[in-house]
Amino acid sequence: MKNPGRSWIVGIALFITLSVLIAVSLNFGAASTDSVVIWNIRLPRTIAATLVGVGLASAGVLLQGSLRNPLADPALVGVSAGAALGAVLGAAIGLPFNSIGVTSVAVVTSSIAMAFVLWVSRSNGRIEVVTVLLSGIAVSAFGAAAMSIIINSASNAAGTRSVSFWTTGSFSLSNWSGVNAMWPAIAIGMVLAFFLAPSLDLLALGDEGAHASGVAVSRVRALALLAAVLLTAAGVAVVGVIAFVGLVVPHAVRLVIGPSHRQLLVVSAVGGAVVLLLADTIARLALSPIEIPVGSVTAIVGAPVFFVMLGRARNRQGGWA
Amino acid sequence: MILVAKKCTVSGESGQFRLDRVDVAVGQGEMHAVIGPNGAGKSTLMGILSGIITPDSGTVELMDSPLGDLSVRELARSRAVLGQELAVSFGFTVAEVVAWGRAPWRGTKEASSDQEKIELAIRVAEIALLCDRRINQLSGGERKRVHIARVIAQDCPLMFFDEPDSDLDLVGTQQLDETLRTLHQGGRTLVVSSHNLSWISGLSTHVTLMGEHEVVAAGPVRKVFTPELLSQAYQTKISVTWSTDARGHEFAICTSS
Repeated sequence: MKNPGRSWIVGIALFITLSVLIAVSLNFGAASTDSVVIWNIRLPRTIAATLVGVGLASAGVLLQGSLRNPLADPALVGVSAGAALGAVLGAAIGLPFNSIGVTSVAVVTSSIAMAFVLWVSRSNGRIEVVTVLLSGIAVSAFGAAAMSIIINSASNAAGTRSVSFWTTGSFSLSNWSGVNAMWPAIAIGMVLAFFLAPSLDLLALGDEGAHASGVAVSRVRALALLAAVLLTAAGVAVVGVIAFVGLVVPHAVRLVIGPSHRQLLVVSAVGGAVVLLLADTIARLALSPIEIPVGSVTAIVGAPVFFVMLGRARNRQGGWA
Repeated sequence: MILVAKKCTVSGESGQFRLDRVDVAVGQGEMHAVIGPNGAGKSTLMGILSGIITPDSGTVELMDSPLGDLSVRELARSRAVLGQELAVSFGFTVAEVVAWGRAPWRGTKEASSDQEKIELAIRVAEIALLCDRRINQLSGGERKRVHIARVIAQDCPLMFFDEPDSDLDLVGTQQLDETLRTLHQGGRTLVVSSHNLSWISGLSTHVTLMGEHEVVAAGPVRKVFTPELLSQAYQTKISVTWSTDARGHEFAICTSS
């Protein structure tokens, strides 16, 4: 058995890294140590990055565990695009950005996207790995197209955030109301995830094996996907789509501490926060004073990792055919 | 009878029956074999008896109460199932997989003996040397033994084994035979499906013989392992000769001609 002490060491190390990053992120920008700047601009941005990182990495754990698919990521399966479209729709009907209202609409549209992708991918009671990803691409394309139509024709607040803000993500518009709009859904999602984790372990046996071992498979899967939607949509509604965090973080954590879901969830959550804070710092620093979208930073690193994993999955299954 | 299925029908996808009004009864303490040709519906029958598949019509009762009345968790404390799927997603270790057998007992007072039950299961299935390995790195036969250990750790009075010998070589089957006999002698009721007629005839006390989607015959081994009934079920002429193995178990040598 994997040494549980290892999870603690890794978890604590990540937590310390996180604290250091938060401190750096708050003080970064040198000269200005003005408390108003720190309090009103940097702190909410740092908290937003932390929360979104927690949400996306945990959503990745939930999607991968409940679909038995190590390649699942909220952005790759279309959940994020569904949420972004919902946020734009919410603004188009007059709700202010960075509000619980917009987050709620995002949760609804994100759930619809998830349900649609699953419905398309089911065959003979199984959910096909490749079809999930392909449907995710189609749903994301549809979401981006619909968003662009709404944004370009909007005469209200919906038009104030560009399509590229939504497709590559940014923390530049994360203020206190943004933080307040995301934390409740992320908190609910994390609590759900924590209680579902032991059942996700058993899902690795397949649906019949899990059922024979006492897991109410449909209910556990539905709740896990709902939690993934909450964890994703809350962040996306404020900061846009940030891809690959939900894919790479759980994968890396699994390599170090093993796949047991409760430990995986907790350590990935902290790891996700670390990764996004780091990514946001790079996004602000790399071409300073120009800020690059944080989603570009995660994609530059994440996409190659995805290809390596894709190749491995293909070898294991003897080609997609 | 602890497990009784009455008039169970399961429809397939294109309208044809997978099971057609099947009756099965399993008595307390039986080593009950389910045999029949490919496609006869053995796995489907195992599925409805173990509560994994809900029949389209008909009833299945465990200890006189309908299986459907039990929650998934209660069911998992009443019966354990070894299915044919051996793959486990992600890199779980053998020790983790065996411990999953105790999952239905979480939060009950039985949970206090988890460690003991797991150790016993590891001993009975003879997998102590595999415990630290990842299950997906093992051979088919080794994986099978790990899942058998998991099912033993679940510690239910009723156990289902769907083709437990299918991935095993001669030695592995011998080992499985001993494991199943140990479980049976411990007072459990076992339902075992297999294509290996010689092996299963030596192991079991009772048999349900399936033909195409229906039960051809059921009863004690000697009553069912007859040339007439087997020939009818397998749709080919089968002769049966009884023999005794080295440990004194009588078994049937079945040959088709």
